[in-house]
Amino acid sequence: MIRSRSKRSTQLAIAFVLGAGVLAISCTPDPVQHDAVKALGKETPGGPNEFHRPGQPCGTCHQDGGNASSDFSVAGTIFAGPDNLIGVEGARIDLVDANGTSPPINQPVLTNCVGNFFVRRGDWDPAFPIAVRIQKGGVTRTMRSQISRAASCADCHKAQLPPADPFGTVPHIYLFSDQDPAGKAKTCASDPDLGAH
Amino acid sequence: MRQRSGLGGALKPFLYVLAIGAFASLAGLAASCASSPDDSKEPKLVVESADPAAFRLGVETVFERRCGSLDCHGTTSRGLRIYSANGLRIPNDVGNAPGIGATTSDEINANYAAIVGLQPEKLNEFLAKTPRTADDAYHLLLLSKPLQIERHKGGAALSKGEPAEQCIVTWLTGKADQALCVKGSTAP
Repeated sequence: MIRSRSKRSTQLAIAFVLGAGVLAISCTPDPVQHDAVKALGKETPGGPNEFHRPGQPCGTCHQDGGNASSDFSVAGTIFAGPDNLIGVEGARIDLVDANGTSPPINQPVLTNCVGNFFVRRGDWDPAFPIAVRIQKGGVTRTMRSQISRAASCADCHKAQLPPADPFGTVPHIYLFSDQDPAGKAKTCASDPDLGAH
Repeated sequence: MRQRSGLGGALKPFLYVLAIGAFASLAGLAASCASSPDDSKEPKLVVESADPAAFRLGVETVFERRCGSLDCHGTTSRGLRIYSANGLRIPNDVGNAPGIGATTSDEINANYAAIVGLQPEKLNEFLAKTPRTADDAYHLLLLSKPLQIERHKGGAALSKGEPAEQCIVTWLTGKADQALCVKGSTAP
């Protein structure tokens, strides 16, 4: 009787340890996602807000199940020229998906003072591929290839001068040949010039 | 009679399982180390009849346009790697980069190798059929994935009947329709 009770309690203890182990493993965050977030580095001073982390892949956190509370279907940063990393304020992003739909016409997609823009999935959930064009002050640039699946422009467009992988990535997105004729945003919660850091 | 502890008794079956597992792993390791190395001197051409000329002429651009963007198969981390003028480039010293310089012959050949090498045995089996039908072609991952007959991480990249899809189907079935390939490789 004593032996049977002892055996049962041991079995229960083992079952408890195994159960706790399984629970611990299942509660561990996705390691790929965890590493991707870690690779983003330090948060922008004052962030997180709509001006934070310009040039970084927004969709790393802003996705269903991501670290951020909002889910973006498309998001990125527009810079002024090929040789600078100064965000352009007020650039418009035109998007058309495979079904011919676009973000709501009464909510034009515009960049803020650091050049960031985003489309909430609740406002537009596109069917890939997407064709994209950016414009400001009569200057227009159209992306040559399609966006096939990435929510973050920075998945392919790296805000890095010079690019680390010239054969497998494209430079940051820029609208002008050099500087924005309208100049850098004068008042902004964050410095729109990434090159200044 | 000396009584065994409850813990030891309960752990005994686990120890047996551990011992059997360790023995099986060692046996597997020994078997894998004992196999003879591949000493073939020349690479074998796996697929000969997937019409490389038609592929170069127009089919290839459909794969570039519809599959080869940098966020899909234009990346070194994904299977079925596709090089293209606007996407991934073979490292070079002539200044070719994404968006700079036309797709090179080496890149087109690499794309062909990636495509016919995706399921070499299944493709050979398919190509040996006479006649070959579109329905047969839909069993190949090359079409079943982008058509989402099978799960495709990138979602539906083609739809049945559209020019790009028909370009690939006609190429696989033996009579590549280059006019459809031109249509299928232009911007939607």
